[in-house]
Amino acid sequence: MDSKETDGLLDLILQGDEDRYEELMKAYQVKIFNYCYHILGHQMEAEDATQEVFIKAYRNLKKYKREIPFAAWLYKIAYNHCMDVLRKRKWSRFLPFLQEAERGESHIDIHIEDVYFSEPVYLAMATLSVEERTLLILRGVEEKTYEEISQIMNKNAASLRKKFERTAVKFRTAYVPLEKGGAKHAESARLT
Amino acid sequence: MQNQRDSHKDIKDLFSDPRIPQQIDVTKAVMEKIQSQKERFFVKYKVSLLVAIAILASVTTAYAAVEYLQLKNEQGEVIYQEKDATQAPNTIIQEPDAAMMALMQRQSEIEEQMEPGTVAAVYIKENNPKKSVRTIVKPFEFAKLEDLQNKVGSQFMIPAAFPEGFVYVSGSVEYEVKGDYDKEELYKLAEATDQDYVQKPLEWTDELSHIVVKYNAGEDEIRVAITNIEGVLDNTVYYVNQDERKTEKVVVDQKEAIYSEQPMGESTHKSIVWVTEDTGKKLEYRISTNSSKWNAEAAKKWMKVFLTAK
Repeated sequence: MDSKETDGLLDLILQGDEDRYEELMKAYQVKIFNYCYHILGHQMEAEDATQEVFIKAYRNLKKYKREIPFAAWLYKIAYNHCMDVLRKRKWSRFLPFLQEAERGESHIDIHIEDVYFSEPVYLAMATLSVEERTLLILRGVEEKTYEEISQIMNKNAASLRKKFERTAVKFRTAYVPLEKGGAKHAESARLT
Repeated sequence: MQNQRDSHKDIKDLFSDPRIPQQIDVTKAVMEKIQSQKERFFVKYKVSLLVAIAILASVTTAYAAVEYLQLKNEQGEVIYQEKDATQAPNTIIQEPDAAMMALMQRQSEIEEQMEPGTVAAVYIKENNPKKSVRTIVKPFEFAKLEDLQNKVGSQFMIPAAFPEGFVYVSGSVEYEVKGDYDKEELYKLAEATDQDYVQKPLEWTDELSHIVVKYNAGEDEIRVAITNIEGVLDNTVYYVNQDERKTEKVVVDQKEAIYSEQPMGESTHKSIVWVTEDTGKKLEYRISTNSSKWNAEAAKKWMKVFLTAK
């Protein structure tokens, strides 16, 4: 959906045609889900987060300023929401499945399929901060411009460029495919 | 630009795995929620916090009893102690229903609109079946240390900077509130207006509730909270996963404190807590941070600065 179509839909929704919000969600939900999925490292949580992001966006539609792309605004909400989720998770024993695996209470490769697609990627992501993970996904995967990422993360575009390069190196260093010797470094196992 | 993107193709490929779910659809769930709560808003953090506590409280863990640390004063009275959350007297917190969430959200919105340093008794008409009147407090906020220092007076000397480049960035102060308001008066005011809430400004007392000071060095932040605990029996703090915390008693200038470290994913939450009674009141000092620049030795130095600040 291009920005013109998005703006047209937004106008209709703000004029009271609320049902059209569904069309907007259909256009952006997979991207937002993917982002939440990689930041949180958990499918169900990512689905919940995606719902929350769209509910928050709906509640604040009137505040959305069209100078920034709608997608960037949604990512910004998702970024803040994921930070909140992870902050809360720090205080709980929520899904410490790798710890369970350590104690032999679950089979990690079975369990991980339910929550995240790849254990080595999960473990490599766990070495990154939320900011770094966001940068890796938005730049390295979604190929957003630094300008757009700076609007999402409220950071300077030039420093993001440098930080991304460092983050990519950090991620590659931490990424160890299982078939090359395993990667069960439980000490940094939870995405926080 | 293209070259640079190509240079990260390995990362993009890794995240283009067919096992990553692509067929999600939250539209129905979202539209239903929007319809059912048309005029309601989600509470940002307060409800979330309650829910989180409820989740934590309901988690069953193989908790092994651990000895908890206490600080006592010269009279042998417990002035601070830590226990595991499983030992808290009220562990069941009911998850708020939609009406309660809406009420709390409205309360947050009103609080956001208030000027720093004000307090009011507020009666919100909607979603308030018990007709409760809430005291909403907005602490005094100070961007400049000298303004904070003027506010709290010479009884509290707030340092401007610490080693490792930590400098003052902000401070806030809250006092106890004079809670004298007449509910019936607020109900009458509410009947006479179309507004969804009415409020009566309240006054602060001279009794300090707490001071919070933040210091930053780059992205690292250290928070200092000075809390008036006068009259608080045993001053007990309940920690989730207390058995995962490393705690030790330390002594600085003959004053006992508890230093603790709790792993938090890739970082570690560190804090030092002590209680003073020099001013005739019990004041709890708590310095806490996730900064990697901080450890037990740094904590003791910070504590010494506060103990000797004049």
